[in-house]
Amino acid sequence: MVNKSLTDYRGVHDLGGLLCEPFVPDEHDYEPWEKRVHAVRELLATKGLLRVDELRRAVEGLGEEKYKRLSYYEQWVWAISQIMLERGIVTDAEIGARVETVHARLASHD
Amino acid sequence: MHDYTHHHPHPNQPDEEDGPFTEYRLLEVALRELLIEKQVITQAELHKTYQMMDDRGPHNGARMVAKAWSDPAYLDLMRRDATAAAKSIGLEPTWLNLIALENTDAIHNVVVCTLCSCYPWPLLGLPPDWYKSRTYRSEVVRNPRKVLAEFGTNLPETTEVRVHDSSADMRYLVVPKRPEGSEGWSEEELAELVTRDSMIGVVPALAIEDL
Repeated sequence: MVNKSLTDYRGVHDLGGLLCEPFVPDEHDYEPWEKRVHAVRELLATKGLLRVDELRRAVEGLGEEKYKRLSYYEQWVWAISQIMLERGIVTDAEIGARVETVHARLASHD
Repeated sequence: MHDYTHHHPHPNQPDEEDGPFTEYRLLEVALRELLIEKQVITQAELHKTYQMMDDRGPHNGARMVAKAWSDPAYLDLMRRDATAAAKSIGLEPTWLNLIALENTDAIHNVVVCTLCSCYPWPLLGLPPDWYKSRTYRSEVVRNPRKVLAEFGTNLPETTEVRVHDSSADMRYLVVPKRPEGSEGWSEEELAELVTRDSMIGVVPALAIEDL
């Protein structure tokens, strides 16, 4: 066989059994913004607007560089946004414009 | 202009401010504001969700474990249908398919989600960082004894270690061994011995002298 079998394929999220740096049991208190992301995900799921497999598809489709660089809830907020775009609930232009508005507003508070 | 972020902290959240505003932090605020403006979600629903999240925590799983230690009929139900066992004491397993794993001298169970972060959060709250870390997910299935040792758990060679990989549709709750000397304790007292990490399976329940 020249071709690799399909079972040789590993997604970037498929980490079980791989060699890695040493494990250290770290943890931090959840930040308020992380809890907000979690709550929005849960609420959208309750309303049938975001399924867990959709969220995971988006997270697993981040690409290796982003998957490794982004924190857990950074991955989630990006993935939730993607699904909301796909479902036509928000548009790219709306998100772009609102990010600018929020940025300007928060900068003015500092 | 509403400002949901800086000046109106949610009552159930810690006092400390969030860290610096990164690209994704801005996205979080932007997306949430848009969803509220479009009436996809409401601020009141969000607050209710924060409240529900705060009501979840290891105290829920600990109630199940303490009852399983005390009540043979409940232990039997947990063995047959752990989801029903959670519901029977008024806990919120919602959509969870739950399996209870009993630790004994012969078998030690430990739980992971190698693909992401699946976790019985209605019963344990949000998972600790290490549970979601690349290193735990990689290593615990390859060398569980080494990972357990990082938590100070050193098992005899005669104990079989079983690692259970959670999925979106199937979650696990470890029932740690009942600590020696806790005979005759009430369920409420026993629940104090049951920690989050003992229900993930990385440590035993507290010893009675640890209380």
